[in-house]
Amino acid sequence: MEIQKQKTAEELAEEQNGKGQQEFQLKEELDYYKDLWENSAEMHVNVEPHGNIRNCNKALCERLGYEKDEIVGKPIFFVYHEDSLGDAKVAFDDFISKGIIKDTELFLKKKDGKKVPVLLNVTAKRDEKGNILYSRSTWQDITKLKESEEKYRFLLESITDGVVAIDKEWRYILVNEENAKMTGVPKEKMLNSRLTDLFPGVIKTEFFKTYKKVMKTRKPATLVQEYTFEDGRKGCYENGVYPIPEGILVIATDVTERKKAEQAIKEREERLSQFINSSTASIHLFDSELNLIDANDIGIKMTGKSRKKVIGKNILDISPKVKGSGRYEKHIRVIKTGKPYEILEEFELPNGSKMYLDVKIFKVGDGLGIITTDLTKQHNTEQALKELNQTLEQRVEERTLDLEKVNMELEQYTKDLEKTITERKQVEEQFHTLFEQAGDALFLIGGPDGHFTDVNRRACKALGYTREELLTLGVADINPDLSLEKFSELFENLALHKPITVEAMNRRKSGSTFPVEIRSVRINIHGKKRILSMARDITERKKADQAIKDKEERLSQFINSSTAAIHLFDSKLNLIDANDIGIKMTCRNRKEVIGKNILHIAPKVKKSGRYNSYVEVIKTGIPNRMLGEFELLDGQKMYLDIKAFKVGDGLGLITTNLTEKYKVEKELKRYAKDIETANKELQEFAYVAAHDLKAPLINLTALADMIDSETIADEEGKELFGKLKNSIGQLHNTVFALNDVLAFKTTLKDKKERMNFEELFSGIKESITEQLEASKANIKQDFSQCPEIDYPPLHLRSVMQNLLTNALKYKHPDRALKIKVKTTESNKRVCLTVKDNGLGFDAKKYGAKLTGLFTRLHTHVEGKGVGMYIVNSIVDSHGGKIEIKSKPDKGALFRIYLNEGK
Amino acid sequence: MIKVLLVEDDETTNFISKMVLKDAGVENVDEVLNGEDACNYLEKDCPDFIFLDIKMPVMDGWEFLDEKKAKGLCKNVKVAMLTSSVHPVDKKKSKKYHCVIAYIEKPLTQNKVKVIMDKLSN
Repeated sequence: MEIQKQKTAEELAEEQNGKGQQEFQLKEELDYYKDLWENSAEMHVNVEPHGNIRNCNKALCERLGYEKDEIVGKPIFFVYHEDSLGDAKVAFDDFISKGIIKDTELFLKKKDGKKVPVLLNVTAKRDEKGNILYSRSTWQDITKLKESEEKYRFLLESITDGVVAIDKEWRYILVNEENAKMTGVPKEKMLNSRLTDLFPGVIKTEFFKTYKKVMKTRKPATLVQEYTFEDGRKGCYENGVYPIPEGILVIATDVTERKKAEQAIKEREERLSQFINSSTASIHLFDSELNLIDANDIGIKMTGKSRKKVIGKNILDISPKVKGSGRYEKHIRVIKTGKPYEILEEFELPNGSKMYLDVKIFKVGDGLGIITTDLTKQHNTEQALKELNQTLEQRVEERTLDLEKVNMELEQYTKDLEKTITERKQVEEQFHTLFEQAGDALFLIGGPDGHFTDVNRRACKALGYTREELLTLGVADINPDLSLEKFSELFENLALHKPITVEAMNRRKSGSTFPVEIRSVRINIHGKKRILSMARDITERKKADQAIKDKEERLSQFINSSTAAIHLFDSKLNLIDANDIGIKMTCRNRKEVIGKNILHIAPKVKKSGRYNSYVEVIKTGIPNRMLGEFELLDGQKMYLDIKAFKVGDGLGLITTNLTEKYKVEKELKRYAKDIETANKELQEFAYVAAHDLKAPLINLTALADMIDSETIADEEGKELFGKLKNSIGQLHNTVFALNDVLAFKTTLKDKKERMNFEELFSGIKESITEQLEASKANIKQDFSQCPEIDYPPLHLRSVMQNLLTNALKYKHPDRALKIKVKTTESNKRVCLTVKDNGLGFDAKKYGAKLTGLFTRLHTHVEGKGVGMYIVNSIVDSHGGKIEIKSKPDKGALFRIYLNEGK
Repeated sequence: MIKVLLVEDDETTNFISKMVLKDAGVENVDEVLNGEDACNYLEKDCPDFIFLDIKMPVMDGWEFLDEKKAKGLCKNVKVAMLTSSVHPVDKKKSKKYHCVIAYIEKPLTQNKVKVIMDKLSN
């Protein structure tokens, strides 16, 4: 600036020096400029210091509708509109004191009273003493610029995106209403304030990093990020950041709702998935309707089923958590299944710039649709702004050059005029760029008949029409549900600059329809009433809503078809949902319990400790199961199986009523006890009977023995006595056998001890020495293969003694008795083998009978008929068994497996 | 002349025992019907040998043995259990008493008497 001023002074000095010499030439030039002045497109006027109009050009007269003599000589304020009269007077005072006025916006008044917005520039013509002779005033008509600016501002204000421009000092230089709404800070407060002062928390965020990066690199960037405002509000925003000469331009779209919908789906799916995993009935639910997430969760969590097996059944073999290259191929497979699916991710390109891709795969008829939104496109808008600002900068520079130069005045006016045209064009372009590039479909509606006067690219794309086609149509053509009467009413009554929002259906050229959210605002363009409508395709949002509804329906179908009671609680144990059976269990109706706390619904859970265990389940995530008798609110007692598990943040309960089953079990237990008691009583009875019979029987036998039959005189008496003795003998055998059996029964619970076969067998032989001697038996024993066994002593003794005495009892009358005894062991199963060459019997015929109570196979031999019964009972109680090989007259082989082995 | 006391509530058993002992040459035999009567008897007179039943009313065989020991009655007299119980537990229990030298099952026979006489003379 300093250098330029000096330069100008030198030039002026030179000019003055050459004035006399070049007077003629100057006069010629002056005529030329006068003509230029008179016929300029710009309005020029000269005002005298006392305020009257000295002269004016043709353009002024034409623009205001006056004849030249109607104006010349009038005070200058005569041509100003009342609205800017104050400003005009201030400007005039400035002119008198400083001799210059720059770029002051004022309104002129036409002869018909209408306003003309102008930009006033004035320089003073002075005499040699420096007194002001008159002004050189220029009025630039800025009506069209104003209109363009207004249009641009309305678009800026009514667009659903938040738009701000920030200078290099982080000051807001442009803020629209939507952004003020987003941030919760008034526009006035934001303007000229520093971003870092208003939102100190922003410095650490990704947003600020991106802003800084764009400031520095001058390359546009986009990001989606959650942001928490100073007042605690949270929101998710998609930010397009573009470099502009002043700094950066940020276009922010609130995507909170979209994120929320996504989160809701995720939570639902997670809940469903967890729920299903903890349910034993989950397979039925998924046979017909299986989606990816459910399948994967089951595949991962269910034990005993491999992932591959699940794939085979459900087609879907992909885990959404798997990151990497295989992802898209998997998505293609998802299309085939027709299940909704959604991912949202940030991708970093090799050049370091970040692109946010939003990929949505959703059900369309039998297939799936994929929406991939590249949100980086919006940077085109920035280009227009950049160009505009370059122009503005240039203009400012040039203005400083020409002001002091009188003879360059007219040239300057011409230049200014060009600039104005360029400026207007740029603003128009800016409007169109925004209009064209807006993320929503935009329609400019021209009248109550709803005809479109302008539409943007997105509108054409969304509806499938060309721009030319669309401009021949109106709202009624794309909105089949809208009546024209209603629209024209709306058109007439919509207040200026106050947007309204409605949901409606739009119809494409193809005839198909889709849901939209329409935001309409009334604006004025060239003084004409217009409606700017922004239509946002909300198919996705609807789909997301539908997906949630489907999931919920599926879940509730599952829940309601379950025979178990199902309750879902949130993290604070308030009841979110329950199936009909679950509601019934609360003894109240649905309205009374949904949303209520578990302590309110079932106060007894606190005392019984269940409440604490539920809290524990939510805390740890470890499922819990309780089995027991619980009392319902109405006092009814139920035997329940309660499974508690974590669902999302909350708790799921599956309660199975086992009351009936429990009742039957209880009944059975009671029967078993009754039977046991009866059995015990019978046993005691048998014992008492047998024992009490024994004492007198002993005496009876002894007494009978004492009577010498020889002392009985007559034969008949002798015979009777003989029969009496015989009967006493039989009675004796039976009663004693019964006592043996009972005695054995009392030993069933005897403890095992380490027994040596050799020792025991010797003891037994010793105790029956007399019998052995009488039988002259040849006994061979071999216990070398298995010398010992763990067995109750009485049991082993009883087994060995019985087998030995049996062999002695049933010896063959014609041959010397040989007995072989040995033990063997195989797989820990011990076998005692006793072989004799005695009478033998038909083992096939009588084998089973042998071990019965009171059965004897040989009538001529004395026996109680309980020996083998007791042996069998003993080995049976130890898991052993008896094998017998024998033929009549050929001896017998007894294999006694003493235990169960392994 | 050896003196024997039968402690047994069943009179028939006592009759039989007496007959058998008589045949064995033991004629000085007294009988009481329960443990309490036996204690009273011992307080007045000490027999050489006692045949003792287990199951009796008023005071059974075990209680009698305990009472006898507690009161220090007839410390030198020997006892044979004569019972219809073949339960091993009873047989084992009888061994705890030093005065008991035999455990025999009813009825008393000449052989059984002989075994006892042998043991006594040892």
